[in-house]
Amino acid sequence: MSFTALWPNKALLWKEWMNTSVIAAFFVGIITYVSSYTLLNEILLFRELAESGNSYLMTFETHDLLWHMANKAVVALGSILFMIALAAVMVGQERGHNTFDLLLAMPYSRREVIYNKFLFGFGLLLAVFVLNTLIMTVLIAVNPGIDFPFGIADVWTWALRSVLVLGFVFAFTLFISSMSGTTLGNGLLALIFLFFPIGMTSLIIVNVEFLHLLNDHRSVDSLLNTGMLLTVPTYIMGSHVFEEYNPTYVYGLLFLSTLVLYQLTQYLFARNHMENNGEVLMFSRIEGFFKLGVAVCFALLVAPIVMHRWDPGIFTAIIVYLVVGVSFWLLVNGIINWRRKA
Amino acid sequence: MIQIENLNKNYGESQALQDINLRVEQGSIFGLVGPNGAGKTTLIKTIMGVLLPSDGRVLVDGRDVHQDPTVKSRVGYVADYQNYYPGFRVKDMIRLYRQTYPHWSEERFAELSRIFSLPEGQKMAKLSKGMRTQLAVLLNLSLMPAVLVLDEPTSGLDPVLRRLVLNILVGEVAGNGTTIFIATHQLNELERTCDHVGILHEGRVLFDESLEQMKENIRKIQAAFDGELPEEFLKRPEILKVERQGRVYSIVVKEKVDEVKAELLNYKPLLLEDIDLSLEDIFIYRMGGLGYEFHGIVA
Repeated sequence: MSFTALWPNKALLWKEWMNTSVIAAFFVGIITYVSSYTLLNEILLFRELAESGNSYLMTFETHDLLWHMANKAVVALGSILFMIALAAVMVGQERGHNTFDLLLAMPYSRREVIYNKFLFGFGLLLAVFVLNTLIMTVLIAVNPGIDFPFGIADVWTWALRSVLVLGFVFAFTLFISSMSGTTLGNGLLALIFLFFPIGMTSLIIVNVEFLHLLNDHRSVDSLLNTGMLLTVPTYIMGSHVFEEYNPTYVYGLLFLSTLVLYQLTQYLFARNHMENNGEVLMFSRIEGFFKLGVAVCFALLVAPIVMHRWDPGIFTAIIVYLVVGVSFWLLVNGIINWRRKA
Repeated sequence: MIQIENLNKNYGESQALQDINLRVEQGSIFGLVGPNGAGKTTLIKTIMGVLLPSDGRVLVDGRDVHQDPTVKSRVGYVADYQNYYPGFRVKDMIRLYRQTYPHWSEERFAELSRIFSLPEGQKMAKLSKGMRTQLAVLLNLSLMPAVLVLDEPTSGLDPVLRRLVLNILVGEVAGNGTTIFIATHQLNELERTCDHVGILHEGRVLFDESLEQMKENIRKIQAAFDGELPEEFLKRPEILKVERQGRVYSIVVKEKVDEVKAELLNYKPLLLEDIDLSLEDIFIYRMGGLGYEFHGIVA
């Protein structure tokens, strides 16, 4: 890519805004509501209580400040879902409406198209968090009389972590979108694979325990911890990863992973055959891996549910796993063929 | 100038384009015809850089469109069905084109807007196919193209607009030296506008020739005789078709027209003249001669 191509393209960024303004506006609204607006609201309430002499409520109010911190997991999950939706729609809708045909007939390279999608997503993230963090910084600074349960540095740390984790989520969804041909596929696959490490670890543990193959709880805990560590979205959902590991390394790793995902997305998108738009997968070569993955995951998920009422022998259990796995393999195969014909 | 070199395009197992080699000179109009499913749209999308070629390359003014998409800043594209962002209004699409193409001409846009008079506040999703085509022509001519690639550009237009669009396109070539590559089923339109014509069948270019050359190479001779022409004469390989009504023979001849005429003079004709064939007739005879089913080409 030439140096000039690194400049944002005004037309492409404007187009992204026009196509995703509803999702983007919701995202801006929610983050602003749970951060700046809530803080301001709580400060006003706190002052009102202080003026009316109800000082016994003041301690409670200070600890309730920044509502999103008290409901961190829910708010974080909400923002993660918004980022997934944003990235899934940015690519999926272009495929669905065949507007990549329009765009790629214009003097834009594929690299430039994807680059500006990344720029738009990260620009939005940065704008929302920097703006709200600045507002919160000012609010805290102009209210020295309130004993806040957090300082200005905490607010900036919250913003940095959110931007890095949500940036990773956005990049990961674009990466998945370079392999999937529909908006729904982009979103669902990104959601599944983002939570895949902890999900798969949990499935393995459930199945291993169900089949009485492992009774060592320390190994189970260790497996779960590894699963959590590899599940990036949980970093802003109450995980202790920033306390357990050096935050600088975690930030660095997140940043590097996002860059790697960006390069992979560029690599795959450059090889996208636009005639495959609308299919479940853009690359027929990964179909086998995908079907096998679905079959294994659903076998691990569904088989213990099917067998939980009785204690099957190992032979019966294997049969059930195989039947469920093959059923889901056939199902996903059917869906892929149906989309291809459509 | 458009140059297509050894272009192949596969859709999985099937070969949509096979070893296409074409050259469209600057300032000329090249017409591409072919039956449904021949690969016209695939070829056009590959020329425009939308589809990736399996092999070969497409050069516009000597630059590979897939390697260097900036060459498309002077290339206009009117698709068979123009896909626009459904949430956009007409004015938004105009803005996108205006911001994208560096040679965009406000003057040309204003001039063409008066002709097409499209509602700028209208949502793209509510535009009819004809209106989409009009908008595409308006946008792609306003970007001041050096090359225009058109896939069924008059489909969905009423006869008046159809004629108007064709006149505008011919004017583009005459006035600005624009190179035009046009795929259509409308052979009568090609006859009025094109310099060169190529035929695509099952992903292969069967031939491409100048219209003039094509009309010279295949002609209909009408001749009247007192008697009958000998069977062996009528079975000559260059004679594609013979019809007889009373004393008048209509003979379609390819390539050796003068030779056949000279020989006919030996049979002392009462009348002998050769007539231009329409493009539609030429294609039917050429394709028939090649043993191809041709019904799909003529709409």
